[in-house]
Amino acid sequence: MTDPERGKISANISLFRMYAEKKDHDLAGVLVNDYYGFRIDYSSVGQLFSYLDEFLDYVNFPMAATRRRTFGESAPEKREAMPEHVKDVEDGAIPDRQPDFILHVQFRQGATWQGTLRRADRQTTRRFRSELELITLIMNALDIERGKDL
Amino acid sequence: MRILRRRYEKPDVPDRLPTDVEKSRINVFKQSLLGYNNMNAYGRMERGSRDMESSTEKDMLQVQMLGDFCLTYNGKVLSGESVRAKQVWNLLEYIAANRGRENSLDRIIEALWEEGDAEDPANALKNLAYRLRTTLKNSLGLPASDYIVFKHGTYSWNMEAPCVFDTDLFEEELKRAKQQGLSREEIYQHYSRAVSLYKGNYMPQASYKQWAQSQTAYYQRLFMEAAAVLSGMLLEDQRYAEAEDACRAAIACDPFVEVNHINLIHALVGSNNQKKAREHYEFVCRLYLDELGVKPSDTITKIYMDVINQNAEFERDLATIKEELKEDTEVKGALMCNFEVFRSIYRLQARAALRSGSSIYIALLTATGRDGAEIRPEMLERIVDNMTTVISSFLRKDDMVCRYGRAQFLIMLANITYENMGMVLDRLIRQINACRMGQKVEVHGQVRALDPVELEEKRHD
Repeated sequence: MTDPERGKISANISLFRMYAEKKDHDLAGVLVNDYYGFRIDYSSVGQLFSYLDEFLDYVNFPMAATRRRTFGESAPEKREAMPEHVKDVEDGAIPDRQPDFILHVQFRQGATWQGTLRRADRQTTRRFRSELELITLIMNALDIERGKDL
Repeated sequence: MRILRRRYEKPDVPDRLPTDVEKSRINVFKQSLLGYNNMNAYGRMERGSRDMESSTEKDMLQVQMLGDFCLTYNGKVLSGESVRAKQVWNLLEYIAANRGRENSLDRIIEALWEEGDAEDPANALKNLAYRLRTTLKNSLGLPASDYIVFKHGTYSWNMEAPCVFDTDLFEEELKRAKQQGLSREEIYQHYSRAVSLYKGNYMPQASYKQWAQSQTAYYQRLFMEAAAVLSGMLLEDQRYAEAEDACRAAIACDPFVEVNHINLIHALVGSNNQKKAREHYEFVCRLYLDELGVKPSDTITKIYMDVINQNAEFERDLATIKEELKEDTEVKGALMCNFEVFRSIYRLQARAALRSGSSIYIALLTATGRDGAEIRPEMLERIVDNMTTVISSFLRKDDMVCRYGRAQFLIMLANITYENMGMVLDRLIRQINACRMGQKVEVHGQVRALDPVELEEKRHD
């Protein structure tokens, strides 16, 4: 895995192959970044957002336009250490198939994410304006796929 | 083209054709002007102007009313400063300005005295007229009774006496310039002489007097039109230095007529003086913001952009251009720029946001009087200077600032969160308010995130 040194990264740092499947009304899968050779495994929507957000905080890209609110002490502006959930791309199996989506988190304005989600098999892209919209798009696409299989 | 000042029609000037005597006088005097070719000097006229003075016409009284009011005869000059009795001079001003008109005694008295100022104004006027004639005789050696006549029970200028007024010459040149069948060179010559004759506003010392105001506006309008035509012709002929002089003279007369700024920028670019052209655009922006609270029109802005985009010299190598690009002074504080540059950089940042990953905010700082009242004009310059100094020194060198409204500044800060932006603005506002003017001024701030092009509505899938 290439250690993404801050200041020497490109927009590809937040571009992922995304494998996702519905599990017990939740979502599980893996995000793979081919440019920097790392992966983030997740087993719930909560993990997807929190792990990825921690990583984006660490690389500070795209920079969050607002500071995170907390009930306790205010969150540090920058994360100093690489989050432990970020692993080398070879530290686990990757499904032997086309990814379900190509996810690009482009901006983090208004305490949420903005970017694009592409259905890799169909080459269709949708823009999302928030994390909620992102998860809705993912679920919607997976439902359509499942309906097709049935 | 936007002309921001009110236009005035000629209201009080005698609306009549010159008599044959006057025509011949003007023609004789104009012959002496034919040799005049100092077209670069559109400066103010000196007393007893050389424009009107001619060795062959020394025995003719010359009256200058544009830029100054003075009389020249046989090399002797009579001006307001040399006449101690102000009322005598006031009477001369009024009679000269209203020559060719029937001036009733009442109107003259009304022009000279406030109601109740004089116990016996008719007698006082008689006395003034006597003293005026004496002054003309003693100071200039004029046969004064020939010039100030008492006719039909009132005093007036003798239209038969040999003399020439610069205003008549000015109007005559303009009239001739508009005649049919003239060659381009002849038209140019007439406009050129007219512009030379206009040494400044009509009877400036009397400009506050009601009877002079409409005439001031009338002659100014004629001059502005002539200067615009002349500078346009000079630009077409690529006589840039002369065009620059004509434009500057017109701008000095009325700085809010855009066509002169446009022509001046063209002239400066034509004479390969891009730097001065840019500086003049900055001057216009500042002037319009200060005085009118608006930005210059799209036309002048487009010309400015053309100037920026124009390659000064084809053969320049990259190293020279790079030297030009560098900042020539020590880099301190934020980058100050005009709105056009600010807009370009905003657009660039909006395009680059995806690749840069930066969080960028813009803020608008607005100064008002206490409780949101409008800032008094006399305070504006100090407030703007003070805000400029504080903002530019307080912010980082890669931040950007431009003046937007009369007392407004736009700021762009990169790599900053909304919360930090708020803190920066608070500190900045405290700093501005901390200075002495803080007692009379309030500064408010607004913040918005820069919108990357990818997030603009029109680009949505």
